[in-house]
Amino acid sequence: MLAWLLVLASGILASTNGESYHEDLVLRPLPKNKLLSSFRFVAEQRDPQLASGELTEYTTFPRSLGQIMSRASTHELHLRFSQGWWDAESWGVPPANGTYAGGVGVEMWAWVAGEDLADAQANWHRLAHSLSGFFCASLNFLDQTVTTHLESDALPRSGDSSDENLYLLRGALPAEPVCTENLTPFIKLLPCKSRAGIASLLDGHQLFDSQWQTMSVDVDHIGDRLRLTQVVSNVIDVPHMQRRRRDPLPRPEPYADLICKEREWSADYICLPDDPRSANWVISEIFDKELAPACPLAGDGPHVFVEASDNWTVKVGGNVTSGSVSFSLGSEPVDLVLSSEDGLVVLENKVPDVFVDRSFTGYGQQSGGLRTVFTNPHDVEVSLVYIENLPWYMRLYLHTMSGDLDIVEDISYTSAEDRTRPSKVQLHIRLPPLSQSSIEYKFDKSLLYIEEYPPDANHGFEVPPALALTSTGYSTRTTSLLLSLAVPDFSMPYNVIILTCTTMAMFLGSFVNLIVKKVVPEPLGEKILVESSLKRRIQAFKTKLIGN
Amino acid sequence: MAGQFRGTYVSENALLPHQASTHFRESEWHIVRGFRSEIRDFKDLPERERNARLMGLFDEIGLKSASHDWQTSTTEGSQNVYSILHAPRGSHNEAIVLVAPWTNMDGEFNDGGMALLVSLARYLKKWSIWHKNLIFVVPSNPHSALRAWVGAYHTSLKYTAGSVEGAVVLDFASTSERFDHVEVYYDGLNGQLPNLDLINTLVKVADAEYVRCDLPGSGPSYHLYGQRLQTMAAGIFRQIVAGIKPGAGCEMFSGWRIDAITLRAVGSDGETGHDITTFGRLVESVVRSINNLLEHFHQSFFFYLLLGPRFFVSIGTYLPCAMLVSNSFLIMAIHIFASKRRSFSRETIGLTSMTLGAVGLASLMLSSFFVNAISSTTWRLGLFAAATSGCISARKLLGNDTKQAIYGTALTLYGFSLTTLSMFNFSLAFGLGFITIPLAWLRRVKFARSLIILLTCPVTVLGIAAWVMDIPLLDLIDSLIYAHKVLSVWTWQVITQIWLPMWFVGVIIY
Repeated sequence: MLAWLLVLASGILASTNGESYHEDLVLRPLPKNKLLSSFRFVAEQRDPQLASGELTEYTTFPRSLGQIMSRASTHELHLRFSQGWWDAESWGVPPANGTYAGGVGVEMWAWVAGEDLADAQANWHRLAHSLSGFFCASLNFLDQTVTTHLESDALPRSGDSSDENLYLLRGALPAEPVCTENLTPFIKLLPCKSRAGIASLLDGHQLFDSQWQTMSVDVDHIGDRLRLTQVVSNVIDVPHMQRRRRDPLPRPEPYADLICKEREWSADYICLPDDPRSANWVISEIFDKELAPACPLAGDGPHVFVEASDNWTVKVGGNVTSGSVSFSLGSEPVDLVLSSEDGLVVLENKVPDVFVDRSFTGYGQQSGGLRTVFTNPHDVEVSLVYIENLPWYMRLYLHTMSGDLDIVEDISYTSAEDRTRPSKVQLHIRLPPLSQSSIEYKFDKSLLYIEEYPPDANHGFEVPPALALTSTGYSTRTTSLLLSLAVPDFSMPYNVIILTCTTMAMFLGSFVNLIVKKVVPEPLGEKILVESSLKRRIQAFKTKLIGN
Repeated sequence: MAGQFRGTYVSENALLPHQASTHFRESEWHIVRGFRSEIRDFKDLPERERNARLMGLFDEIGLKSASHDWQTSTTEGSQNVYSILHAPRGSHNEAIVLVAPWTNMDGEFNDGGMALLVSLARYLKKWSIWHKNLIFVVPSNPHSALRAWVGAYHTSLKYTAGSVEGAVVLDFASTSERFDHVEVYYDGLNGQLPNLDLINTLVKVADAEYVRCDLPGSGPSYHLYGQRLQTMAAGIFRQIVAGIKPGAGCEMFSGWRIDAITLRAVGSDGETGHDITTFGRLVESVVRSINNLLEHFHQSFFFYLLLGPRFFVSIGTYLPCAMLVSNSFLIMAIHIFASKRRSFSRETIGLTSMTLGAVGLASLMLSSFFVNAISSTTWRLGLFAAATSGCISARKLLGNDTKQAIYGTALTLYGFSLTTLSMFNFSLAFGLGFITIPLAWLRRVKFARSLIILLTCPVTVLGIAAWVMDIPLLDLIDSLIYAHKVLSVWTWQVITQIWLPMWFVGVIIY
């Protein structure tokens, strides 16, 4: 009750800041029994940092994030945490034209203010380190060697442009595993946390047992207002999820439960499996929870959108409808059931503007090639920007660029500097209708210093995904690649050290003996021993001092 | 007799062979039978139709599948089918390949392997544990078709799924549903073997499933010296002919740092023995072990000789033996240079080296690059005969000192080449050294020099090899050239560039 009052009070107090908060969830069945769910949370308010004189506070926009950004003079921030592979060919375009979908791992780009590039990079450094602790991710590894400086207008800005001295910096960590520890701080940014509204479905166990999953945090300025957009999308294999609910292990089905196709050789002991086409997807079974009552701060508008073809029946509480439907959350928890006679029939997906596939060619530890295939599935020309950051230990040779070079209109290239900065290739490409073109370049693999190898050097080095942006606003990323470099035998230096030390020790003893000691006959030796004994020496010293 | 060998052990801790329960059993057997009957139903259809049906099976499981058309420089060409299981939330940059060719290494219809492949695809999809993508490949044969697929995967294939960390070829060609034991093939081209850990994993897994695991060409009594010797000799022979003689399929992955083995079910006539799902469980367990790997296979040995599934000789132990053979040529060369008081002219030595190199290059070019131009038998043999008679006539022209200088230089070069070769391909270097060792003794022995020359002649040895392998000599040469051109196998280069020039020198000086 108290919490409710507080929320209400803060709502009244903050209304002077012109804040708003909105959340929505899109559920969409995809081909082959997959379910796409996309959660979006948008919080907006006047920027407290810009307010002069008036009483302004952080309300819907989280103070913690606001302070980090203002400390790092960051004007606009975009963060992506993703895992898995988006099957563009059968799933079509990711939600929001791919704007909120990231490549594998963690990706961050920001417009950072600074007097010059070095100053901006210092700010970027500060930002990455603060966010690293904030999101429990290794963002602090986004140092100079993996960060590229792009022209300010290379990536689309959701905010307005200002005449400030802004630098666009971008970096990615493809090897970063994204998991629940990143989700918790993400949920903490929401005004209702996961206690109310659609966020109640955000459960780590369910969210991360998906085929593909992405989380994004976008902060931008619109005029004097700050906007925070958080999106979580994932694709769930529903039969897989339902089976796992029954039994986490894929134990063989009981004989009686086998569903088989009819063939002339069919018998009790021969079964050509016939997986049922009907679907009955209960949201509380898939997400482990029902939809909680609406978050009081979220606007009235519909909160949940189901996008399905007409063969799907959608049951919300007691209401049954067919096809696409949208509804608002009330004050009671509600469950959602999607069912269909033929779950394989779904809404036709929007075909992406372009398919981009990148892979390594060649073999050996010395050199290799990078081949990118661009496919335009439409009968209209597509123009796009392809941005690729390659780590410095891939020594790229731009003159080896071959393939269908007539599609390339412009190249912007920054070469790598060893241990300082990655190389950047930015291609402006125009793809003819219904065409497939490929571009390949060659590179040499560098040898690293021994301390530069990570503990799992034989795993290979992840090359960050490349980014493609079309003129129509569709953005997509390629997969990351695994580059294997020549790896020394790490046990070898260890052996050598041990062997060398042993030999040194053995030789050193005898050497010292040889240098320091003198070989004399035994009687002489005893005489010297007696003469040089400590007692005699003290005696001699005394005599010298006092004089007998 | 014991010998210098050691017991194998799993070196990479991450593999954890057979630490997790396997569940490919019971009703899965019915499903294997179902897929097997279905595959038998469409096996006689034209290639494209049957492949479409096969892709349909993968499609119903919910996997992405595609076909791969290929064509070699010869008229041969066909279509492969492959399907990818994307690891849920995987980083999509590593993959494990499972292969079941339509026909196995002996040309038998591999319906058991294919049925297992499809049912395993269906079963393995139920797990959430995958960290690497799984690729299921059905090539039309385990030789050129598989090679074409592997080659295309690294150049131009439609769907790729990251770098391949391991591959297992399934060979279950019997008509029965049962098998007695499994054989593991581990050959690779140019002496590249899969990491010993992969074999160790399989042996350990088979142990846990109570399946006997044998090496090809030998029985289960590895405690006997003779049996171990036979196993080792068979291994060395297979390593020499890998790529030249149609192999089990795993050698087709060589060259891209992919560790591959072939699993073959043997002895499946009776009603007794293990059932087909046991074979599937072996694969399941091995795949799970590879999936556990965080790094590429690197911990265990890459150079070894297996004496049995659990015994091996490491490179440190066997290399001296190849070194002794190849260094005997060097010692002989030093003897020639040292024992002769008068110094040989530097020009002779330089000229000899250059000539030998030129002869080697010329023979390689003539034999392989212009193979189409001189494809006829008479041409090839004629060239060889002409070169040999040229050498014989050169004997009379050259003085004794010059001959000695040529001999010494040739022995030096030959010795160094063999030493280098033995580092990579022990079997080839040792085999070649063993056959040609009499060439080092040409000036020492008083009798049977002609016999030595005849026995160390590449043509004679290839003829004997062809007779042993039961194929015509010219077919053997053709497959050597094919292996050299298509699979980048060095054997033909070694024969023409190292062996043949040395033998010509032998002809000159004997």
